[in-house]
Amino acid sequence: MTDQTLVLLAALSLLVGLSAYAVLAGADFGGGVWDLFARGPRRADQRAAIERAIGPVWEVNHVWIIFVIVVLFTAFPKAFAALCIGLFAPLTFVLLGIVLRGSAFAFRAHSEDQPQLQRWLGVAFSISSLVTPFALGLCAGAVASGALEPVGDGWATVPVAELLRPFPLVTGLLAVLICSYLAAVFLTRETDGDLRDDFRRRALVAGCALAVVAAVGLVLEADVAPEHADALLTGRGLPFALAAAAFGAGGLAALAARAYRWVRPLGVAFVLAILWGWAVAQWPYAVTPHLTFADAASSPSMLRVYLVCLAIGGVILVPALWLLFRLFKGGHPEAGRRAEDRA
Amino acid sequence: MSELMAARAQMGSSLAFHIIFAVLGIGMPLVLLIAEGLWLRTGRDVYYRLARTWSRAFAVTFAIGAVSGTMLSFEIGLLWPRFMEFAGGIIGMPFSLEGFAFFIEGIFLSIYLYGWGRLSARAHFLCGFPLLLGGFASTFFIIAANSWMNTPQGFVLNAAGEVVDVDPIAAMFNPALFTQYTHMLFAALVTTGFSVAAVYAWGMLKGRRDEYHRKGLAIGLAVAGILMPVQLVTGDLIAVQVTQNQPLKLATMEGLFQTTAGAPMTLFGIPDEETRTVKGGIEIPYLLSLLAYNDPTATVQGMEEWPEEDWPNPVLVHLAYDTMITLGSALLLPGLVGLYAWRRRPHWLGSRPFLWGLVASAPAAFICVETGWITTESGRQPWVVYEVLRTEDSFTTATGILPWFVVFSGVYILLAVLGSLILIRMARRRRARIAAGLEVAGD
Repeated sequence: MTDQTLVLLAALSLLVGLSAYAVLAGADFGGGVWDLFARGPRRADQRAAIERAIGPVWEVNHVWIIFVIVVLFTAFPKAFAALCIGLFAPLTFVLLGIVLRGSAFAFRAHSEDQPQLQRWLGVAFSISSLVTPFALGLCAGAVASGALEPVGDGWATVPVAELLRPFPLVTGLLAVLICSYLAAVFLTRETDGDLRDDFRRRALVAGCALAVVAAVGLVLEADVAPEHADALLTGRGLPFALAAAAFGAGGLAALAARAYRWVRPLGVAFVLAILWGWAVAQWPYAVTPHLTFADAASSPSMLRVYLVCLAIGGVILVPALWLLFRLFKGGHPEAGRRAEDRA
Repeated sequence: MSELMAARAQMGSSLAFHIIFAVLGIGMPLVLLIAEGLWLRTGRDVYYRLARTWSRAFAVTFAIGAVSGTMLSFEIGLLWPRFMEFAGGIIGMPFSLEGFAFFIEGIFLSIYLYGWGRLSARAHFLCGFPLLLGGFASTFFIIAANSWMNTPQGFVLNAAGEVVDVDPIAAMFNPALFTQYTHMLFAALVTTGFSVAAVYAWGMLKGRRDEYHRKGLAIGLAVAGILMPVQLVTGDLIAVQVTQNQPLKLATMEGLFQTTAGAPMTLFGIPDEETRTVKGGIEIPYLLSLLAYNDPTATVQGMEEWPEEDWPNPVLVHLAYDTMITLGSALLLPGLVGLYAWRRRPHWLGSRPFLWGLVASAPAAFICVETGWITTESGRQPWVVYEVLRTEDSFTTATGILPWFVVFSGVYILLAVLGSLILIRMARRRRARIAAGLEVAGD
């Protein structure tokens, strides 16, 4: 295997990890966002459905971010160091969000006799569910627009003012909307009746907002990250951009028509098309435009061992994941309920 | 406080916090499997109730462990980017394998927690094994990375200071791996055992002397009591390993400034770098030479053999180490007394002194874990990768660490307070349900 192939395979494994994190953990974060915006007569039912849907899977879905970090520092240690120094502040917010989201959610599920505390934990859970994807989206926007600058033999920390420019803000918002859309879409498959309709309307709202914000993002991108935008609109990213438009429109149509069987695959395909289009536009840079994946990579001997580990790990992981999702996401509305909740 | 000290304090407090939940994450599946296995064998409700209670409590502690572990994976990059840039390409392999082990833990934890009543009793019990083994494997891979920091190998530094000729397998199977792993693994199991025993001993002291409390105490004490002697053996092995690979660390642990033949072991006392003596302290003649080399007259190298700028903090390391070995040795007592009482003096088991001893054993075991970890990590300073990369050289160029240290310290305090509160309330609710005759299989 040539060195380029090794780098490409390792980068692909990173994209697979990111995709899984975006789709699975993204939906969990989106659930938290809808917890924050729970409205109407079925407010409590909405929150209960979200808790039921997230409960058995959030910890496993969360492991994908650890997977991504581990891949980064095993296969691309220079990129990992650059991101950690350059994006110190937003990544620290990500971290804070992850810690508060997870612990508040777990604590809330086990404090049923303390309604006051439970309410506060709910607030912490939902706000951190919003902050985390926002900060991650901000980081992606900052990298794409070339905000990270090398100094000496290291990297400069991106100043906060640089991060709070329109493009990173829009990518942050985009990440939140992607999570919210996915969550609402998934929840239409795990609820029924009026509750399902609540989530259907939320999915439609989030999906339309997503389309608008993505369009604004593309306009800004043409300005601050022209190469990125070119790749996405005319170059190798175009098939993904077209696919995203098609799956997005299809998903909204399916939601409008209440064709629930189609909403989940179309929603997932839509998000993957956005993410892969983004990745293809970013290639070959790990940190645009200063550090390529090839330059950031570990030695070929390390990459080879890493890919072997990945194959072995995958053989163990895939059936275990299959078992988990078959048990708790079997498609019926009460899939995530614990025995004691039913009693 | 300098930025570097703030970063070290943040890393240290994150590890000190996480290790508590990591220990329970490794040990709880074992006690769960024992309780559930006993239920399957005997069909008695008491074991079922214990397993259900522990599984709910474990849900809370595992979640805290998962998020605090994530903090660490971020923080090694955010605070020490040059360390990860240097080390990632060498010890990335155990880290990536740890990712998979953690997936297995997470998946089977969910299946275990939410699978009660959904899976058959036997299938549910079997799902506890991947959970247990996933925890053992996670520990192995994390310790592999840490032990490499203590005994780095599997790479060559060329004249330009670049890493070449990386051998990830040799890096992973470094000389400190086996002793560090076994010592950490048994520490986790023993500490979990004492924690479980302490909870039920406390309940019995409060007058709740029912079968539920007796069996809960017995399972915890059995695990801790049986494994504690093994832990002393792994402790001896790790001391010999440190003597061979990090003699300066050993000298610092023992507060031994001068190279000495027939070296005594000095318990406690304050090492003074100025005068190069230990103030106070109890000397046990020849013991150090005996422990390190199995020979009471052997010569043990003192700290004077190394330049002072390479010394770890002798006060911190010596006192942490002595605290660990003193409390660790004392933790043999509950198991021995329990065994003797069980065979000859059954009434001792319910006596107040014995129960108070068990209550104290849990914090003592956690103090051992913390001080043992301080010994390993602070004993490695000023290096992050022993004799290769200094901690200060791996530090980030980003600024503003101190405010984040304050924020995250606050978060840890909040998590500790809320987590304890929720576990206490949970125990109370469980007791009420059990008293009402609920919590039997199939309800």
